[in-house]
Amino acid sequence: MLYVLIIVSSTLAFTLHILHRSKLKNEELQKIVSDSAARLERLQVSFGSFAPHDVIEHLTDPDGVYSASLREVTVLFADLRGFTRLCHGRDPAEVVEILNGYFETMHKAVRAHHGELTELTGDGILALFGALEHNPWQEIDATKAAIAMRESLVTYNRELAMKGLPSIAFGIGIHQGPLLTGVLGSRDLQKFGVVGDAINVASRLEGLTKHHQCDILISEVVKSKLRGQFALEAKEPVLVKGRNEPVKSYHVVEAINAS
Amino acid sequence: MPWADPLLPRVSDPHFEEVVKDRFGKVPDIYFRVSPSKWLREAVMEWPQYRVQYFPSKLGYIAGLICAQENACRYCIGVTRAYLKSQGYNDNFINMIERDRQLAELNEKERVFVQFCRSLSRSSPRPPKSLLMRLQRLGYSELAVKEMAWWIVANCFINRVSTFISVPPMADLERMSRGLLGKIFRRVIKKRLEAPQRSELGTKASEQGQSFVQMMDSLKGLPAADYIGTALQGAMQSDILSKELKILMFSVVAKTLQCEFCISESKEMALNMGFDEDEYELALVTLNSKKLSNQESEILKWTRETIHFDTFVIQGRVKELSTKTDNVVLLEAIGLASLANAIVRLAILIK
Repeated sequence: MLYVLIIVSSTLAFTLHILHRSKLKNEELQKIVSDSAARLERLQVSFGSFAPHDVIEHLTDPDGVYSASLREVTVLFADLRGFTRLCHGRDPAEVVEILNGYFETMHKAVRAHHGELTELTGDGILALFGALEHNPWQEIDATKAAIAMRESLVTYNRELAMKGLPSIAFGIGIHQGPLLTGVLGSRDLQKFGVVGDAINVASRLEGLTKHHQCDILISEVVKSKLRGQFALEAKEPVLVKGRNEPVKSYHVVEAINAS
Repeated sequence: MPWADPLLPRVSDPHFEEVVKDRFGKVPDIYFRVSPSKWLREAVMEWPQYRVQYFPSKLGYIAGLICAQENACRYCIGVTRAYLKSQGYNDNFINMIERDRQLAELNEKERVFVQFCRSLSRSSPRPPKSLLMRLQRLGYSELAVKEMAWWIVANCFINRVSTFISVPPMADLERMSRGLLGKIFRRVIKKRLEAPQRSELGTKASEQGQSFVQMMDSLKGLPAADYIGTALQGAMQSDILSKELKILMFSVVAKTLQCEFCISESKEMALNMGFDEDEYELALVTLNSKKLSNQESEILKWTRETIHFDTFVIQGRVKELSTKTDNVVLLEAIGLASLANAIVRLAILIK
């Protein structure tokens, strides 16, 4: 009888021990999984500074496949004027401070009008409207964003002046056309990017702002979709690099009834 | 999770409070905030009470949590977590669903359902019809799949209303569901979160004249048709916002989500209402119209913000709008925008 009791109690103790160990192991695994998930979330947040939020969402979605797509997108290209001159002989930290403040200010203006700032190329900004989700108001949004950028630049220049730093100026070109959007690159190096002629046209228009001595130029395509919401000034067509026909452009003076 | 202070005040309506109290035992905060709009308060009370009939209720519970999470609705996440707990699910299971880690433990039918939930909640990009087909190929009936779509948009509707108003989280309910008391009073919590039947306020949609008739026909056989019909009818009959604005709000959502059926349906309604074609197109391009007051134009512009939103940003935009409208109008706009988002999302899939 005692024998049986010893065997039963030993078996019970052993089972309890196994169960306890499994529980501990389980808790440990839970903790590892939780830590990994938390790390992944932190990584996702940090990665958010390198690509638009929606792109990160798609990339981290286990069910989603982020494939490149061709869609109508409005491209806003902005470039600082005389930046090389501004850099000359200036402390690099000061240049970085001016640039970062500028990017921050412009990013806010773009985001407030449903745009995504997708690329910073030196002192240039590439913002897209309608690239990540369907946006029927993309041309109006981009034009409003450009006006907001103009207003923000005035405020930012005041801040720079108060710090004893030089003021800056920019040119903006806006065009609309089909773009291939998606994650592009090799297996080892990828980034969210866009490919298409509309970018070149927007860039050429930005270049023309110097020629026409104004700050915001839009293409004929964009103008045709604004339905009289902005005061525009037609500029004489100019032949630009890579185009067979002279490019028609319009200077955006102000919004008329758009808030 | 960022969450603003409530953007609408509590308003007391003794009769409505009585109805709510009869059902839930007490009056949760959200009902005070939606009480000035009759159709909206009814929808907010009835829609979450819908009992799914053609697919497993477990998936229904999961859908509630996923939608709340996708729409980053702090209020709804708290309530759905408490609800899941009242159904006997533990924290581990809930956390895993939230973090998308439970998928390995779900079968294929359930996994595709979860994918469907996330896709329809986000609608960015718009959910492909192929997902519906896939669910059907996996063995769900056509009615079950339609019911799933309805249930997801119903949850998204509540998420939007709660987020736009910024309803304070039900701290007492969340606390109770977390503690020992929650386990003991699981049944009480469950009772507080669900009611056995429709309220006396409910009316048969089938007895009423309908907008979006064809879509309602597609839901034939599901009680959901009655829920949507009642809300749509109530919203259209309410005279707080002009009919022109309401149609344009639907049009804006339809245009953004590229729902051909809703685009043509709302256009036809607008033309019947006296818009000429150019005037209507111009209104949709400029988000403004001579037929709207300044306040209504602001609401129309705001409507597009309600389609894909970031919680913190949209609550800021609602606050901004609240400076241009009175509370009753704001509540109605919130309700209508949420309803338009639900109906258009549903129509994309079932029409």
